[in-house]
Amino acid sequence: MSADANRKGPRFVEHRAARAWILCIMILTAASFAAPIFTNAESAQNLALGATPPSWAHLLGTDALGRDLAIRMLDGARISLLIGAGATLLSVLIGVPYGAAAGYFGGRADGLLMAAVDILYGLPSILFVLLLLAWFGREPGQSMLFLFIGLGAISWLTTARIVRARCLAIRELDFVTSARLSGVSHARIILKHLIPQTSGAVIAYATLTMPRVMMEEAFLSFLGLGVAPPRASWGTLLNDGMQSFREYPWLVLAPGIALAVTLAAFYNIGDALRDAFDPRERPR
Amino acid sequence: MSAILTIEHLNIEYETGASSVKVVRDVSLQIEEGSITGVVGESGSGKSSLFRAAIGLLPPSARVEAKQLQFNGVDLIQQLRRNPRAIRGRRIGMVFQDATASLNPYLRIGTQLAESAAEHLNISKTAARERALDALAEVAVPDPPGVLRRFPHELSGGQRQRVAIAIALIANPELLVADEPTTALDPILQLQIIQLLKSLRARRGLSIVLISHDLGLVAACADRVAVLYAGRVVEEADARAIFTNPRHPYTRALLTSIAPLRGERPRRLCAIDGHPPSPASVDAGCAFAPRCSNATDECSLQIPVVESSGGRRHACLHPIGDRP
Amino acid sequence: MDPARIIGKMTPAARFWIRFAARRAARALIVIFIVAAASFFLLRAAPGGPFSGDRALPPSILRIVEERYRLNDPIYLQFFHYLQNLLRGDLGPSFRNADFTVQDLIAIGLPKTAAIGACALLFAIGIGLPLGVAAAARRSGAIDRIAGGIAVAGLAVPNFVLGPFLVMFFSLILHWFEPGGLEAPADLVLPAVALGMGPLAVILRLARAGMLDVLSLDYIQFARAKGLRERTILFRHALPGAISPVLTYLGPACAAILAGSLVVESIFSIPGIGGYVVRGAANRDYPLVMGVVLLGTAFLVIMNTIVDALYAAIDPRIRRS
Repeated sequence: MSADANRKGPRFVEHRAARAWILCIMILTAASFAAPIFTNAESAQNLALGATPPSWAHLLGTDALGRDLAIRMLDGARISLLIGAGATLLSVLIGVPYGAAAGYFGGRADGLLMAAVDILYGLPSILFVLLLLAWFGREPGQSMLFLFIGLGAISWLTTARIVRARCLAIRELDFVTSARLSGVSHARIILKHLIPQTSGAVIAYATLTMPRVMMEEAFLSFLGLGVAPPRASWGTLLNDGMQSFREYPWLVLAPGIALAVTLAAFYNIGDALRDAFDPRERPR
Repeated sequence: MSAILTIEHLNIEYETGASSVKVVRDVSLQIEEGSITGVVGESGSGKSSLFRAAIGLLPPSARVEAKQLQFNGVDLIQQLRRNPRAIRGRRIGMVFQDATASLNPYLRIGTQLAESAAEHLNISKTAARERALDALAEVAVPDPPGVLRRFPHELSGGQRQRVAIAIALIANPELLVADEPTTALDPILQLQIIQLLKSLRARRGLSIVLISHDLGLVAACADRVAVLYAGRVVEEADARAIFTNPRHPYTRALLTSIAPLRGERPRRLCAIDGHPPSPASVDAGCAFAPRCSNATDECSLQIPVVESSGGRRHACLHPIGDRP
Repeated sequence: MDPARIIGKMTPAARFWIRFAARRAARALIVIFIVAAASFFLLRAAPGGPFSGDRALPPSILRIVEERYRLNDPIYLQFFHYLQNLLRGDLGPSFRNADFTVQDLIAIGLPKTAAIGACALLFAIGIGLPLGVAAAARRSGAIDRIAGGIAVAGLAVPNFVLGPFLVMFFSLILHWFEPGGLEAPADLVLPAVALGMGPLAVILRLARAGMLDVLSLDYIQFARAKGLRERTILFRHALPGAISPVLTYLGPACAAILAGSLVVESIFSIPGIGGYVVRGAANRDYPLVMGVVLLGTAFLVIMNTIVDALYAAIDPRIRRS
């Protein structure tokens, strides 16, 4: 199966649109992490300046406090990407072992584990987030942690399902049987034999989880429930912009468009990866 | 007897990206009214595409070209372009190999029968239901009123194929094209369906095209047989002549590869060596030459012309019984 | 009369539906109980009480308040009381909106939230489904290409981005709609579009993919060979087989619309449930959060039951087993 993935790998690399989108993401990531090195001073408030529309001095304009929007956007991108990557990683760390265990052991264990997944699927994630939110409250500093954990904890279900389906098929293959017969431990078989086999599908799905998590983060930040000030994610910027978007529309347009383009980039890359690794999986 | 369907110099080509594949090459064929015509060939021989073209059921990537394609005096190519529904189901009915897959699992049998009747006969719902009952009785399904209320999964395989035939016949078409109608059934049911087709021909003078890869089955009911190989008609004759005196080596090879018919002396079964050519690869010469024991160098160079005499024709440079 | 004998006399279909209803009602009660228990204990275990927030209350007042809301009872007793009240339809007093019970607040907000949500769902299905079917019917045609664009945009543009953009364009530039509020039916249009666009994109994708799968099946070929109209083939023959992924998605779609209504209500300044629950979550108004969580759960359980009933209504093979 991994040979299969290798054979299909080049098809993805040749996928020209996907390559362009990857380039977009890489530039965005690099810029957002490089930004603090160069731009410390300019992100400061400048109350005398106030809100100005885009100009050569401030490419995306400034907000009501005179802060350069382009720089705030890059700061926000860093936070959005970090939370997205962190929560996605968490979802993979939960979902892969969970699904692998269900698929490998099968039978009653599989039934139980998957019944739990089905129940959680049935419950809307937003209710869970609301509960977590009420639990953690709004103490500053906790909000980043909360976003990691909360968003990761609600995003692993599909990953677990995909991995389980793969493992159910793989465990019947000869090399797994022979490993089991020669006394290799269950944990080792899962880690060494099963999980590597699922990596293509997991990577593809993680690329699709990433925009979903970033969207949820922006959603919560937009509600004022996400990243606490003075930190700002794109969702926070959108929320700020909404307060005065009749007067200063660029404060909404810039983060809105940036978010939409980034999400589109991840979705397109993820779709291309899924086509390359796993033509059968359908979006849920 | 007059021809109900006349095919002259018909070609079918599939466009696949930049290249194209010819699946039917220069086929001419006449289907006589009130006859059962067997069309025999291996899978990929173009036998299904040929008749799907006649009711316009080919995928959009297919290009059909013909000098003539006439059905009871109607130019099919024009008619199918203008109003295919005046032909499909109305004047030419068709059933497919697997009735289980042909019937819609979500709809009651009654709906599937009556909608065809209502579509083509322009009759009321009650009349369509009456017509559906008649159609079921005609194909000898037990308990027609009960079957109307059933879903396909509640019927047996043989019943499903009968129902499919009833649907194909509900608008009283003049021609029924049965594409491998018995392949998915066990031998006893196969025979029953063949009996049914024969009785339909006898009772209402229905013309039938029976497409099959199974010469034995065709032998059991056809009046005339056309043998297709790699998109060409290689031999066509009365059924009796085909079976007792094949002239094309491919026909003979097919005959020796089937089990003996009732009352025949058992003989050695042999498979045909090699594989049928892929439609993309045939260019010059006789397509069967690589597998043919009679083939000479000539065979792979020139496409044999169709020779006809005494009501039969064949396309072979060295036909059987013609050796010097 | 003996209930067993009544059931014995029924048609198989009626028996199926009665058993279906009974099983589903039982399952719904279990799910709601689990959610109630989980959210109740989770919230009570949270660090810091509802009244330990920003403005510390004097201890004496705090005691009175805690007395009033029974916060000093053992926690299982509190839960028992909560369930007891729940059965009577009483979700308890709101901690932060004095003089209001949770059901009062829900009664005020729900009609508005429900109106927007229902319009959004209708919009998503009413446009997404036919568009998906049309895209599949003429694959790679003009409609298919437009549909592909909508599918990508619907996923990539979140409702809280689309909402402000809609307001900017249709209210502030074109002046076609009011930028906010809920005074006239026309005010529903922009919020419903903002809320329904995401689910619309998913329904569109699912319907298209499902139709493409089904259109290649033998029974569609056979329906064509029968000489049926293309419309009959698409809607009567192909759609029932293609629609199950769309049905499956209706549950998550409702969840997405429910969640989205939180932001859309704030964008369009509509006083629905969303505003209460966002404030409630930030302020630790436990009964309010719980009430809305339970309401949402109940709604989704009902939706999922309806979806399963639709499956069975469409596919006769499910009814038999």
